[in-house]
Amino acid sequence: MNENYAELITGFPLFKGFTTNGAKRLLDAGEVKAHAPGALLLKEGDTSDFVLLVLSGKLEVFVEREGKDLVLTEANPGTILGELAMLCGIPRSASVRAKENSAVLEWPDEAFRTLLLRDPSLSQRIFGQALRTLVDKERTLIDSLIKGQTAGGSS
Amino acid sequence: MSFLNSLIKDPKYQDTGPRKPEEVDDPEIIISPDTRRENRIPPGQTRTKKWPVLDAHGAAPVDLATWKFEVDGLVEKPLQFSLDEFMQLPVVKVYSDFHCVTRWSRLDNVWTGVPTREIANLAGVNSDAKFVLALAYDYGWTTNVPIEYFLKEDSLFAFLHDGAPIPPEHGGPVRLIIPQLYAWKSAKWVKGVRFLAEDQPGFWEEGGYHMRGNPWTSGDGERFRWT
Repeated sequence: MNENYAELITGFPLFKGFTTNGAKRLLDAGEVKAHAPGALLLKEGDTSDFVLLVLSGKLEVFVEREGKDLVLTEANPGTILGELAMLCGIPRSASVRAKENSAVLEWPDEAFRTLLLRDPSLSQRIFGQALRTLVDKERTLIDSLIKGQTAGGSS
Repeated sequence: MSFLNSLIKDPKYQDTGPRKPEEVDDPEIIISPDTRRENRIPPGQTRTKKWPVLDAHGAAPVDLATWKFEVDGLVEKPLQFSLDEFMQLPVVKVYSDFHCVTRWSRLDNVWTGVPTREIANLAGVNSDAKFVLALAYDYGWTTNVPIEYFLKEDSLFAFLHDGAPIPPEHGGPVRLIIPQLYAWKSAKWVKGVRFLAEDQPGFWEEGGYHMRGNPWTSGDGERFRWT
């Protein structure tokens, strides 16, 4: 089972250059968990004590406001989730549930920190991806502000 | 400065230097060619005056009584040495710089140890051997090195650094030193070498680090296989 996941990980852009053995070390640092559609993996406001790598399936990142779920984004295989909250020591900023049958690699807090501390190449990649996600969010925010202004001007 | 030294508890702190190779007062010493460059700091690197510690698992548990060094793979005569036997082998001194992939360079080091060429000669390396896999005591850690770098005149299995035994955190009792490649190729706690026809990724190389690791190539040096 882990053999297949190791192969899968070597194909993710974030882990470009990893061999199957290199990917196995990532798997050994955590635990693979399967989730059925609808299962809640992360809950907004919870303590951040593990990080997820989506291995297969599809997850949905959402927040609940005024009794409604607002879906922020979908997370496909190769995406890391929960790393910013864990690194910043803040509670989960959103919830995550499985949209399809999904498998994730769950790294406990300490194992994830050790991976980053020991491996400057990996930390550069993971921080790079996390920061790109933030930049994209900022762009989306700016776009929505501009749209709002335009809409306001035409009314 | 000595007060500062005691504060940072780094007896290897370099107050002065680096010396130029011609200032090294030892007619026998092998001068690593990169120390003769006008600018000794490779692209993207910064000089450190300290001797930082970096490793995959922390210092390896090495028992000096049972320590052995093995040579196998594409050789006519596989070899095995106890620490005592290893210390009887011919010794050289090398003056070289040390470049870590995490962007620090420690200049002006004197390493004492057994030349890699001596080990290769004793074992009788086959002509089809093109790569060397260095094996270490830290939990199966390995690194791969092209044979032409392994056999450079300034490559050695060192047991002294600046005249003192290499402490465990820096890879003692014996570590490989390949001054012309990034320092992760200079396996700490080395326990042997395997001569191979095909290149085989080692521990960090399996995580996307460069198969050769030359710090002097144009751009940013050969750090990773994903940039």
